[in-house]
Formats: sequence, structure tokens, C-alpha cells
Amino acid sequence: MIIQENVGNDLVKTYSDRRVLIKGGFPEGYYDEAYDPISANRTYVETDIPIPPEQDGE
Amino acid sequence: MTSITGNQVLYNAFRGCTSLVEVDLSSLTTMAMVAQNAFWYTFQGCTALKRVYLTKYSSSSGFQPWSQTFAGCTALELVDYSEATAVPALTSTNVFNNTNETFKIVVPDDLYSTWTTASNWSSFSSHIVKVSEYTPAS
Repeated sequence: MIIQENVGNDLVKTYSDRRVLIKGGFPEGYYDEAYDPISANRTYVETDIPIPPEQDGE
Repeated sequence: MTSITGNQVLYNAFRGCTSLVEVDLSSLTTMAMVAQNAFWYTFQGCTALKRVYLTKYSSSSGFQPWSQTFAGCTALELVDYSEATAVPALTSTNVFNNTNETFKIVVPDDLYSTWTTASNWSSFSSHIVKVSEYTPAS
């Protein structure tokens, strides 16, 4: 399911609760999570691509 | 070298190069992102890296930062996109994890408004400056 949360500074955060990439936004593409101006009203859909695990820094 | 095309392009390319100070990729006219991990961790942990000059990004080719591309670049001052003709998708916000808080992303004047309101770039809007207004750190 797509989740959207207002995070302050007039930004909305969008992500998938299934930990998959979402597609949409501007420019249109794949995103782990997306922060957008609330006024932009951008939309996203879930994909079936898992978000890659993060590796530790050096 | 003017072209890089491949499945992993710059995946891990400079990761952990702690003496690297400056990278100029601006002569690359073709940098195809074939696979989604093309630019993962490219500069991660490059603790001395200050300046990165990127390709002439267009909607079909160019450097598209993704998973932790610049993470841990604690000395980072400049990411230069001043020759871009389109805004690249910033797929992850972790691209700039643990970087210098004052680094700048220099973009063309005519793309500034679009860039600062693009997905995820909007959360780094305080770092984005027009090329005409950029003053290098002394």
C-alpha cells in the first residue's frame, strides 16, 4: 500500500509499506521513497521491485 | 574517454577512495544507465572528495545518483550539474547521507525552479544553487 505523510516544510513523503520501489513523481521514475512539495500533488504506484538493502559506509 | 555504457557503469567505482579530492566526468557525453544499480555507492566513503563535475545530463543519458552514491563524503563541497538539460530522478534520499552540511548542487539557471521542486530534490532545495550565483568555496 502507498503511504503518504506530511513531514513539515510543506513536503509530503510517499513510500510503500511493502518495501518495494514506487513509480511516478517528477521526473517520472522509480523511487525508494519520495519527498515532494504538497502543492505538487504527485502520485505514485507500487512496483514489485524490492528496495535494495543499504550497505554500511566506509 | 567519452562514453560509458554497461550493466553496472560506475557501481562502486570510487567507493572508499579516501584520497580522492576531485572527479571530472564532464567529458562523458554518453553515460547510459542500463541497470538500476549503475550508480550505487559510486563515491561512498570518499572522505576527502570535495568536487564532482558531472556529465551533460539529458533525459536519456547521464549520471543518476541512487543508493548512497555520495554517502559519507564528509568533505563534499560541490556537485556540478551545470551542463544538464533535464533533471535526473533522485531515486533515494540516502544519496547524500552523512555528507558535508554545506555542500552545493549547482544547476542551470533555467532548470532551478524545476530542480528544487522535483521529487526528492525538493528535500535538498537549500543545497541547490543557480550556476550564475554559485561562488566556489575559498
